[in-house]
Amino acid sequence: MIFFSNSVIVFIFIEALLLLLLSIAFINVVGILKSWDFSATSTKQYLLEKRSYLVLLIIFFTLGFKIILLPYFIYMIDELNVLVPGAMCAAGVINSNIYGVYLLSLKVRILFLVGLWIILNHYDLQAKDYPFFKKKLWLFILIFFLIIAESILDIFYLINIVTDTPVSCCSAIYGVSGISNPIPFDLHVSELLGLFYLLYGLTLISALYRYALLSLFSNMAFLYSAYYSVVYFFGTYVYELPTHLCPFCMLQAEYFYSGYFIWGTLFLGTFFGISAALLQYITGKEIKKMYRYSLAFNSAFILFCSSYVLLYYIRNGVFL
Amino acid sequence: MQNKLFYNFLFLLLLKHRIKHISIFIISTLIVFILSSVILLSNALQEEINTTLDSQADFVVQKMRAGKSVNTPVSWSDEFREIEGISQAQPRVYGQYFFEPNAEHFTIVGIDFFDEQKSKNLQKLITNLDMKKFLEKPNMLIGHGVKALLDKYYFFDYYVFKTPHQEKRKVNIYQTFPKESSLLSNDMIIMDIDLAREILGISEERSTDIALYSPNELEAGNIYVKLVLKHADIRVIQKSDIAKAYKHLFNYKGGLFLILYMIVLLTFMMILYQRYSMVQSSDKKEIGILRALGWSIKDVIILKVTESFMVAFGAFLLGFILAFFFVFVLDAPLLSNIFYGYANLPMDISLHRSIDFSLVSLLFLFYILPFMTAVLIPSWKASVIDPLEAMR
Amino acid sequence: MIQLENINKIYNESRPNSFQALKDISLHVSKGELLILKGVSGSGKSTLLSIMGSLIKPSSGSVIVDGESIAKLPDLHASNFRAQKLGFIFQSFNLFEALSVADNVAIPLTNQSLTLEALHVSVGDAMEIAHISHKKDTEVRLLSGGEKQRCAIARALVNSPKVILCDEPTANLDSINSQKFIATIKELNALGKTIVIATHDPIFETLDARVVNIENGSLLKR
Repeated sequence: MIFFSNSVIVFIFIEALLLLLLSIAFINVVGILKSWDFSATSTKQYLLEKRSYLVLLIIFFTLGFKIILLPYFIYMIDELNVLVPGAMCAAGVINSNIYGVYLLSLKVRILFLVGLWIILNHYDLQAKDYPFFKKKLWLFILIFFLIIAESILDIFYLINIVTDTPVSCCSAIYGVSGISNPIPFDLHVSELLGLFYLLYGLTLISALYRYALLSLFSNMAFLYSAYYSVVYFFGTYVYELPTHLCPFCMLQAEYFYSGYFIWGTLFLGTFFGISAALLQYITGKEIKKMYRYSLAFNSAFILFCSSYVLLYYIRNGVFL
Repeated sequence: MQNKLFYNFLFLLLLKHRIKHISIFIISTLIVFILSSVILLSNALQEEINTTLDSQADFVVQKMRAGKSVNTPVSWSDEFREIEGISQAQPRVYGQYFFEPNAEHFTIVGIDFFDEQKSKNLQKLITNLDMKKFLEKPNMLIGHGVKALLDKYYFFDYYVFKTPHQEKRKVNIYQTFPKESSLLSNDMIIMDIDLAREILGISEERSTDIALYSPNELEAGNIYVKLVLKHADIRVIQKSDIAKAYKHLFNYKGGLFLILYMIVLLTFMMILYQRYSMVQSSDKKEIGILRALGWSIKDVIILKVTESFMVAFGAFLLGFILAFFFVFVLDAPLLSNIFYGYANLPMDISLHRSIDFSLVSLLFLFYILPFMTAVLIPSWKASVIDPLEAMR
Repeated sequence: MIQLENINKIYNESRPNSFQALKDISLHVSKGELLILKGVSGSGKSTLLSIMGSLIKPSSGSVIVDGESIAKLPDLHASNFRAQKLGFIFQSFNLFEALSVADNVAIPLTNQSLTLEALHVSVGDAMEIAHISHKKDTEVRLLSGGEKQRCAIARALVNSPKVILCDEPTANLDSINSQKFIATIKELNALGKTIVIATHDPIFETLDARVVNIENGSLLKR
């Protein structure tokens, strides 16, 4: 049973502890939201302010660990591939039941919101009158409920990992061997690439001129197109095999863990692009730094991916 | 992050509060020690078994009757050699021999010394053997555990086996296997294949099972299907199944331990929480002074949390190093019995040193998170004390 | 420099044992002024001093120090404010006995993101002014009462504060050291520091300073 694998037990234990801490924070947050009035000078208000430090401490601690847990989760899933028949990398394990993909995308979304919260908190503390206090607490409540959902999904997913029936490996999951085209809107790879670079151009413009709305939508679209571009085009150059289509294999040692860099820069670039817009809406402030980070990470991502293709061409004289 | 002055201050504080920290430090070290020892041992054993398994046959085929395996016809091996992908099919003769005086079993392994020995493990054991001399008389090579047992009953140079046909066969002890191979050979007796057949009562046209070797592991699935289709009463065991079975066994034992250990950790957390919640008035005064002088609550929390973290980290280092020493230098006395089980003869093996980053980080996470969780709320409580009241 | 308007402080409000420590106090202290808050213990002078130093938040009223309203500052900003603009001298010195003089003096600046050289310079200067440089590496517990006082003074000066607040600074000193302390106060005042001293020690009458009397939480009109 998968449950007895060491890394899984440790993972569940840690998640349970973090959830406990977050629940304590949640209870306090509800209490604070009910009676918070910053302009008040009553003892009660000062007590609430003291409580808010506990809440902040817990949130920083748990969310910090959550950020570490995502790569650990992926690493753990990757390791489990020896126990799941037919799986050669994390792709097979993730897809061994229907919960896996939803779980993974939920985790990424939660991470995104956590990042947003951290930045919002930073600006709230900088000001002298806690201008975004209630907003950030409400955001925390949202995150908290998502984390509960995540924990439930975690259990369902782990319980249902099959160890006796074979699962499909990445080539079957992502492959074009079927009749239907896995790329959305029935695009060919070349069309997808065109769209990909075009969207990058849009994110570039929105970052340079700080157009919030454009940044929001172009980054979201860019993220979407980038995912498919990496799996169906750039990944093949990482593996140097035109039929190897997999977002997870590149996280393994034999590809120098380049997957972490690729997905990491993509996540950070689009995160900063989207949050810059969201925060501008929430706080009314334009945060130049975030546009710059978005620009930097998105560009790093594009350069890194494109370089794989270029290097291959330089070395071999042809494309795959 | 914090500058040198902060750490200077921190270490002075740690020193000053050392009496409060020392009991926690000792308990933590113990907890890390036990945890690490078990995990390190379990991992080392798994590695050993994996390497042992590596050189095993890719398939083992047995004839089945009434749900049990019976002696397999040697003629089957010819059929198997025809299957594409199979490089070698070797009939094997081995079995358990009941040693009456101590009511225990030896494993007798028969080797055809003129045939190329495919099993690397067995090959290791019989290198440097002067075959001519060995085959002159009925001779056997015995494992460490066997030697110990035979010595106990004064069988120093030979033993007299009883065959199933009620005959007696005297076999001389030629050599004992070195201690390093004990995991494999502890209760093993190696002898000539025909002699083994006699003692185990296996006829010439039969063998205990047939070991098949196929170098291309990607073909394993196809070969498995072909083998199974050869006979109606055939059982085929794949090496990957064995590997998985072992991994599951280790996971099970290891997992059970971890789950039980969580109870220990939770108790530990409560102790920590209690201990660090007791803030003496002198501590309160210190924090009050810091706050009055311009340290924010955040600064004080960082100080307190870092203070606890230093204790935790130090305990982890010490506990882990001790565990490493215990498992790999002292060979984990007492603890190893839990893993080896009592079914076989008691063993004496030296473990292969193997640690990797993921193992250490797993141990670290499993320990540090409960520790820091328990310490969070007390740290906060201490930091938000009203500075004026604290200084009174 | 310091403006207090309608300050009230009630402890344990809405409970049977509630106690009003300060009653509708308004007070102005000009820049570079030397002010003595005179009153017996329990009169509320320490509470008032603490409110000036943002150590306590008032139940109502406003506190403005050096142009900044500090009554409702969040802790991060309040502590920053203390670290940059205020110096404190306490009745019982409140030093870390196990640390050296220099280490004690450096404490207010620890979290202020200064370079180590800047830190050393500030610490050195402060110890100079307080005449305690010769003992900079001595542990505080080995110092005499007067030396401890000078260490406390140095600590109060290390961040070049605009305002220095002293709470019964001579309570644990003999008369000689008290005289020395008064001399130091005069020096500091001459440097332009605004100084507020809460005390009932008559020795301060020798100072050329404004005296405000406080009794039962209210300022007495003279």
